[in-house]
Amino acid sequence: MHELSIARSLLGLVKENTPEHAKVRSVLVRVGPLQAIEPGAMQLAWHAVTDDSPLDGVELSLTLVPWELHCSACDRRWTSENWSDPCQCGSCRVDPIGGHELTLLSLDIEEIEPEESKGSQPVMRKPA
Amino acid sequence: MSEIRVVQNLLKHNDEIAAMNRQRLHDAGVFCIDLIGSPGCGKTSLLEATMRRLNQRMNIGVIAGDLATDRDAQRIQACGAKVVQINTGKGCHLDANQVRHALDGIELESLDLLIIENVGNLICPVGFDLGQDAKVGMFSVCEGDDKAAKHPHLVCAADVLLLNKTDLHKHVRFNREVFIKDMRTLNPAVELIELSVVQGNLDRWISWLTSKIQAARSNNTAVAIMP
Repeated sequence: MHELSIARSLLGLVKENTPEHAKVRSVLVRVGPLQAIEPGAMQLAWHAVTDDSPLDGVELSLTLVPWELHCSACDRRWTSENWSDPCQCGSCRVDPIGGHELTLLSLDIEEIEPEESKGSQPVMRKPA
Repeated sequence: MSEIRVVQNLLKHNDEIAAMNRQRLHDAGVFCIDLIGSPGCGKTSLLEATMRRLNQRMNIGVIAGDLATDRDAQRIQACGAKVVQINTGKGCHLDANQVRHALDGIELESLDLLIIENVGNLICPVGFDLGQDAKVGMFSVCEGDDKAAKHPHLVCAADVLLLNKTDLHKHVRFNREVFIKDMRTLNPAVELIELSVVQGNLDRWISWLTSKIQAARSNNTAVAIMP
């Protein structure tokens, strides 16, 4: 359940990157296969860390990146859900590449009116 | 609605603290390993045996991570190591900040080797950099020959893999070729050290460790004498 620690870190990053007068609607996160993230556990952890906070209800949109594989026999590269796929050339000399990604890509936000300006009338200055 | 591009690593803060830990350890000339394996694979027994082989030649510190109890810490302390216990409570892995605090309780300048024994778990600890020089993944033949395939995260992240309990090979279903083939596919460069802690055939492990410790010492000396 390392998803809980990751959700806490995500919460910190979202707060750091949210402008003052903005409400976050959703966050987009990209996850590589080497992070061993279980999407259901991640959603549960995100819900747990945002519960009763200003970010309660913010949607976590997870993009799970498949394995990127390289065949050392024919030099083909492709993506697959399974790291142990043989290559279409018949070779089993297939190596996974990368896969460590765990990135907060973007936030979808809505600008909100600052509290102090709500309901206030423009102030007319007297000419000097 | 508008979009703010961020593109930041979620474990950015952990990685920053890990980099600070690594710098502290390098400055003190300490070689540090993060030992990761399932409960019962023999991590604490390996530490006890390592201590018995090396504690006359060098100073060894251990950070022992466990959900509860200080039993591992007591076992390791009895072998002459300086031990700091971290009880993670419900936490399934150690993070860099816990290690940072543990480092405060250790006189690093007096050490040659620091071993961080992670919480017994093959999954959660893997993604968290602690500031170690090498990640050591530990399996045992009793867990089955499919464990490399089922835990690609650890196999890919490890700098060296240990396969323990080879003395029990004849009693359990473990196809060594299958294990090694999966391991090589995932991480062609990783070194595999097969050993039996209870039988004490640790020579390859001890020589891997001592060569790394010597390299860490000479790097530290090289840095120290640079203008």
